[in-house]
Amino acid sequence: MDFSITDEQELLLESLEEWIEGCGFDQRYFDEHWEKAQFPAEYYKALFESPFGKVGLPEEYGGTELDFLTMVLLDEKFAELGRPSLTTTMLNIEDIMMFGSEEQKKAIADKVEEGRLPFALGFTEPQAGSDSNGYACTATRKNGKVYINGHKSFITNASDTDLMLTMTRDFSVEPPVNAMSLWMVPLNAPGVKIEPMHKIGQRMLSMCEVYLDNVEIEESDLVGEEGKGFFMLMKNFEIERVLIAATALGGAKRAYNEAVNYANERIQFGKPIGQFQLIQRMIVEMTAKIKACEAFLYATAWKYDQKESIRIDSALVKYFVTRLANEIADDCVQIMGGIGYTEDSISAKVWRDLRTARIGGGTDEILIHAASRPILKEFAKNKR
Amino acid sequence: MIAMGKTDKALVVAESQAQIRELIAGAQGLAEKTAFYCWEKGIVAAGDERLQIEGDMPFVETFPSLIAYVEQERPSVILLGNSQNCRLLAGQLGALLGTAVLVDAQSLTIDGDFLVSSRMVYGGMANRTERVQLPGAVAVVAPAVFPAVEDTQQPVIVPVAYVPSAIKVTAVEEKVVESVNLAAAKTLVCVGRGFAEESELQLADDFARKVGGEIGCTRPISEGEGWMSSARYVGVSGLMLNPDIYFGLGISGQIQHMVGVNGARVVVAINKDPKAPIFEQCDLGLVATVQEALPAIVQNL
Amino acid sequence: MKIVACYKLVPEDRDINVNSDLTLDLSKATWKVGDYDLTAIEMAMRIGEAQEGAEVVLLTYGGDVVTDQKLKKGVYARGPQMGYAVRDNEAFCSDSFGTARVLAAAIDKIGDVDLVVCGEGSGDIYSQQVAPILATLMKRPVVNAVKEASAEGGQLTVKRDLEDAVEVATLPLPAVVSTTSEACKPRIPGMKDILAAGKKEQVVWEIGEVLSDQSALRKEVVNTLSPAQKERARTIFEGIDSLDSFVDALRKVM
Repeated sequence: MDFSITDEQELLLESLEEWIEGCGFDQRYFDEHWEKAQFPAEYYKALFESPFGKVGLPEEYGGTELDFLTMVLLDEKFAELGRPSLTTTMLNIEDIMMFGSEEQKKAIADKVEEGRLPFALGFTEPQAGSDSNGYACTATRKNGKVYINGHKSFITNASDTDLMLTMTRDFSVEPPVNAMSLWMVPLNAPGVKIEPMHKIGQRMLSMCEVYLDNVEIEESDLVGEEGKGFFMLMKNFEIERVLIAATALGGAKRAYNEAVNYANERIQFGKPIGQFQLIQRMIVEMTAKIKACEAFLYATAWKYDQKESIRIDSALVKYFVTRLANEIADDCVQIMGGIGYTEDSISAKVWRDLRTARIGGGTDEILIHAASRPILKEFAKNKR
Repeated sequence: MIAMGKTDKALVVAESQAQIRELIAGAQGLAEKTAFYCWEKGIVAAGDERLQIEGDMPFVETFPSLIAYVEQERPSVILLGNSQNCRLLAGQLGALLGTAVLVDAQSLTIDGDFLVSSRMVYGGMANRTERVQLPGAVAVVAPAVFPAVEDTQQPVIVPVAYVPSAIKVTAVEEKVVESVNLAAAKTLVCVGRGFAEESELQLADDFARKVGGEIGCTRPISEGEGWMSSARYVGVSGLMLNPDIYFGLGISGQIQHMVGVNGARVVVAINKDPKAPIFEQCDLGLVATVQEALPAIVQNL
Repeated sequence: MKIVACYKLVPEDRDINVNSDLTLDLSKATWKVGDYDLTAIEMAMRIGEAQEGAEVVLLTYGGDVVTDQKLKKGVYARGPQMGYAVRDNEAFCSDSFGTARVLAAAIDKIGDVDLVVCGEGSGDIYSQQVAPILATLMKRPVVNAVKEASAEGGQLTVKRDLEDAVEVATLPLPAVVSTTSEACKPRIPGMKDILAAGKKEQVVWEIGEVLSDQSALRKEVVNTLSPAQKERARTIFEGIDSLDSFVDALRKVM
C-alpha cells in the first residue's frame, strides 16, 4: 500500500497555502464576520475566481475536475487554515448541471461567473430532520403557475443567496420516497419570509427559518424529473458525509496546532506544561486520533475513486471522524486553559464550530442506523 | 578599515556625491592613486583624477564610455556605490575583467594579492568573508562603511570619450525622496508590518520625534508597500547600522532586518504577538499593538 | 520570440542550522526555488503572453536537485512550456561569474534566444550580478531593476524602478534583464497547471555537455560564519496595562 500523497497533491496544497496567505483577507476579517454573523461575500468572490473555487465543477463550466481524494485533502487543508471552502457548493451546483434544464444551468453558471453563491439547499423542515417521511412542503399547480407552501428550517445560507433548491412532496403519491420534487424558488418572491436563527458556531454562514406562503413560481422552475427529487439528492449524500469529515478533521488539526504549541510555551511550576504527564496524555491521544482519522478518511476517498461502494464507509467515517474531532477540540480547550475559554483562542472557536458536524449531514444516530443494518445483513448472509 | 597593503590605482564610480565621498575615502585606503566618476554634478575636491564624459545623459547611458575607459586603463581595483545602476555597471566591469564582483561589502582590505571583503548571506544568517585576485577586482560597497572624505584639493579632470549606448532612456518620472542619513542617527525607530495603514505611520513619526530618533523601516514597508523610500530600509542589502538605541515598532524580528541593527546598545521592541522573534532579541519589550502603545508612551514618557 | 527565464534552487533559510563553531549546517535544508526567481518567471510569462507566438522556457544550473520531480513540477506549474537544466556537482560552490559563464553557454546551446529574464538576486547569496555578467559575456545589452517590460518590433521597453526615479528605457533585442523583487506577483498554480507541469519536458545537460573548460571560480570564499549574537536582557512587559512599568524601564535605558 502506498500511503504517500503525490507531488501534485503536495504542490496543490502548497499552492492553496500561498493563495490564502496572499488573498488579502486576514484572520481579523473572518473573526469580525463570525462575530457579527455576516457572510464573507468578498472572500467568496475572490475564492470563486481563484484556482480553488471551481474545484469539482465540470471543465465545460470553467471548473477543474479532481479525484475525490484530492478534493478531500483540499477541503481538509482549507479547514486547517481556518478558511471556508466552496467544495460543497460546487457539489450542489454539479447536481443542477446534471439534472437541470439549459435555462437553469445558465442561470447558475452566471452566478458562479459573478462570484456569488448560487443557491441554498431547502430540504429540512421542522418535522423532517432525520425523518424524511416528515416532509410536508407542497407544490400545487393552479392556472398555469405553481404555488409553494410550507416551512423550511435550518436552511444554511438562506439569507446569503437569491435562490433555494426546495424539496416538495406530493401527498397523492406513495411511498413518500417517490413523491419528492425539487424546485428552484427565488427567495425574494412575495410570500417568502426568512428569519435567521442564532447559531452558537459556524456563524459566518446564516441558518434560517424559511416560510413559504403561496409563493408563485413557474413550471419551468422544476429541476429534473418530477417525483425523482429524493434520488437526485441521494447521489451526493455519501460524498457530503466524507467532506464533512474532512472539514472536521482540518478544524481539529487547527486547534491541535495551537494547543501543542501552547504546551511548549506556557510555563507553570517552573516548566512548560507540555512536560506534565496529564497534558502529555492528551497530546498523545489527540495525535493518535488524528492519524487514525487521516487513515480512514483518505482510504474512504480512495475507495470512491476506485469506483467501489462507500455506502457503509461514508457513514462510518463521518461518525468516527466527527466524534473524534470534537474530542480533540475539547482537549485543546482544556490544554489552553483560561485562554481556551475566550475569543482569543483558536481552539475555542473550533470547539464551537465543530459541534455541528455530529448533527448536520446525518446525525450520529442516523449514521449508526444507516451503517448497522448492512453490517448485520452482511454477517447474516456470510457467517464468518 | 585599515588596509594591510596598497595597490596602485583605484577607480571609484558612484551616482551621488554622498556615495562618491565615502568610496573615495575607502579607495584611498586601498590604492596609491584614486580616479573617480561621479554622475551627480557638483564640486568634489578629493581624489587624484576626476573622469568627465562630454554631454548630459542619464547615468545608465554613460556605461559604455566607462567600460571603454576601464578596458584601456585597467585599474587595479574598482569600487562602486550600491545603487541599482552601480550594481548593473559592476557586473559588466566584472565580466570585462574576468572576475566575480564582491557585493554589499561591509569591509574591504588588501591581503597580499587579494582584495578581501565581508558581507551577509543566507538572508542575514551568516557573514561571509570572500576574496578575489588583484589586479582587476570589482567591489560594490555597502553604504556608511567608509566615512565621507572632506574637500582637500581639486583632482585633475580627465576627459573620457563618449561611446554610444544601446540603452536609451526615453522618460524619467521623479520620485519624491527625502534625503536621510540614518547612519548618523543615535536613536533609530523602525516600523514594520504592525502598522496596518500608511496613515498610522503618523504614530511612529510622533514617537520618533519624542525620543529624538530617525525613522527606518523593514523591507515590506519600503519595497512592498512603498510607504517609505528604500533609503530608509534597514537590513540585509540595505543599511547596516549601530545606533545607541533601536526601537522596533510592529516588527516581527526577522533576521533580514535585525542583522541591520545587531550592534545597537539597547534594543526595544513593541509588537502585539508575544511569540514574535524580536522578543528573543531585545533588551526591553512590550506586548501590545503599536496603535494602542505609541500614543500612550508619547504622553507618559 | 523565445524568452528564457532563469531560476536557482536554494536551501530554505529556516532549515539552516548553526554549528557550535559558528559554521553553517545545510544538510537538513529542504530546497526551493528562490522567491525572486518566481517574480522573474512571472515577468517572462507576461512579456511572452503579450506577444503572439512567444515561447517561454526555463533554465537552471545546479546539482542533482535540479531534477527533483516535485521541485520541477512546482516551477514548471508557473507557466513555461518546457525548460533546461545544467547539472553539475560543483554548482553549489559556483560564484556569479562561474554561473553566468555556464548560463551563457547553455543559452547559446538553446539557440535563438531573444530575451533572458533573471530575478533580482538568488535566494541564498543575493549578489545580484549574474544578469550583467551573463549579458556582457554574451555581448548583449542589459538593464536591472525592471518592474515592467514589453517587447515590440525587435525592441524591449522597460520601466526601471530606481532609488530616486522611475526610468523608461528602450534596448534592442536580444537582451538580458533582471527584475525588481516586487515587480509582479507570481501566478498561483491551480490543479490543471500542476498536473500539466509533470508532463512538460525538462532537457538535462551535464556540465561537460555545455562547457568544456569548467573551472571558472573567480571569487574564493574564506569562510561563512554565523554572526555572534549579542546577549540581550529580554525584559518583556505583557499587555497595554503594563505600559507604565514599561515606560519606567524605558526611561532608565535611554
